[in-house]
Amino acid sequence: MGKVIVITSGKGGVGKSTSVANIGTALAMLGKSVVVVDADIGLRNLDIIMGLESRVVYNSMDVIDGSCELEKALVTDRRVENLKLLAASQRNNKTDVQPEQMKDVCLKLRETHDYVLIDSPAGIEQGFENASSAAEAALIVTTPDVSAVRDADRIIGLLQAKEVSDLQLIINRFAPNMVKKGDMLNQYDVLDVLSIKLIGIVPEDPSIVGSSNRGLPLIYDATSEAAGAYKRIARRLDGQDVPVPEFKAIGWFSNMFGKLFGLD
Amino acid sequence: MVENRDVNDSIQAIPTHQIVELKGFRDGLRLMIDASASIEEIRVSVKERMANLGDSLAGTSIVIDTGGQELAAPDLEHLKSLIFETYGLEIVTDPESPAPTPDIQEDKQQKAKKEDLKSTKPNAAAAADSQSDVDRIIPTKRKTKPTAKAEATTPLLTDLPNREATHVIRYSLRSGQVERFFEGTLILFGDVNPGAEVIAGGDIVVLGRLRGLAHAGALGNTSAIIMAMNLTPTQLRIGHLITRPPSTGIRWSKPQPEIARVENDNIVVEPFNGF
Repeated sequence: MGKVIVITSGKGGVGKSTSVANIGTALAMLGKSVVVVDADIGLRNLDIIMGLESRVVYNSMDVIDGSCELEKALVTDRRVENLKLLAASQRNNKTDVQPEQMKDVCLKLRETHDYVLIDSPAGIEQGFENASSAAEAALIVTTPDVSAVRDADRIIGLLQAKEVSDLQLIINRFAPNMVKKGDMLNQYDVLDVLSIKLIGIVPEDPSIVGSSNRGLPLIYDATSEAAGAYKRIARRLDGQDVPVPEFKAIGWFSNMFGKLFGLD
Repeated sequence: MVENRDVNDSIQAIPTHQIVELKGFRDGLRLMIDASASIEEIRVSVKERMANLGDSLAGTSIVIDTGGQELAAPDLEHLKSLIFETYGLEIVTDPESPAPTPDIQEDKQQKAKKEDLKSTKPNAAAAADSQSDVDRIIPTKRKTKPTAKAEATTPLLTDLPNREATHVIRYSLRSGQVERFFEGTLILFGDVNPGAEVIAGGDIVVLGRLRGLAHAGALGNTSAIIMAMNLTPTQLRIGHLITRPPSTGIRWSKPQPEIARVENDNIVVEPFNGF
């Protein structure tokens, strides 16, 4: 019996799908059997980010209306065998699925997998209702922006009202240099407002764009700091005790010396 | 009680001859009408009473309460449309249709009737509230039945508004969450996050950080206060007055309790060092 976790944010574009792809892959690399479910019906993205677009034959809509067996609709990842994707329908609309139907699918997936990660759409409407219907835990993704934090706060309130109490926070696109200049909230400001448990901070990484476009989750890039952060989040999610490192601002001086002497 | 009276004495000294009275309860507003007055008088009084509220109440619901007296159907319709169209309030049917209380005798004076109306209604509202997740502290005095003649004729009439319920909330409010009580003081053990709102007919005390919106004295009571352990709101409202912190705000290096109140038609905020 696995665990159903919804990854949500309220605000769009903060990195929900990226987080699902990377954490899902990292968990699978830890040897867990993982299904990632794209709940963004009508605007499916997760298959592209994971590089599985061309392999999708059936989607969750086909499973719900009974035209396909659940097992058959799961797409196996190209690299990690125990990672599966249940794609969303691009033709349908969020209102075509009821929370109960989504819940049934997720609970069935839970029986045969260790982790069911649900990629929630942005917003607080039916798409979110569908995505969170079966969730027993939630990862809230936010960027250190006032507006993203505000929306995350709203989502947390809604999840708590639905009695999802296992809530953990991912601070994404964290830029220590901007924090140092005072242009960005630091993690303490964010946690001060949201007051839930922090599961990880993912530093800003420009290569995330390329990796999403190529359909190759960043996690395979061993040199990426963001990849390391996602790997640590996956391990924490799996119950390991991994400390959150302090991300320090890099000035030109330390940057040069770092490059010269291989310091980090 | 004595201390309370001192603080609030001037707040809501409602003249006894008033035809129309607006009171707030948990389930919304209640417009109490003395139906023995003529429709014209009632109409003027309603306008008078509602005029200084501004649009702070738009969208809320209101119950028309005639205290068990009959109001002619066309007059009632006329009132409803007046209230709805002019003030944007939604009129709902009274959940507990007021039946004439048996112990009121016809020969009793108007004053006594008023007294009875005032004291029984909050009790009814409190009863309806008992299932809610919000605790209410109801002063014991409120529970005494106003049937006793002594109670009705004592000079306590002016401090009646003081005997309002206190609403205690024991959780933080997140963005989008609203706690609204049109009657009494609201005490919140927790934070009011940006995007959350607290609204009360009386005072608001936040034993935490107030970073959202607070509206005290929501029915036009400008002697209400707002107090918080850390007062960094997006907006403060007391009665019909609205203020926001200066965009380049002076913030205390160390958070300290602050109190907001009305002084010469302005909301002023200052450190709280006890009354």
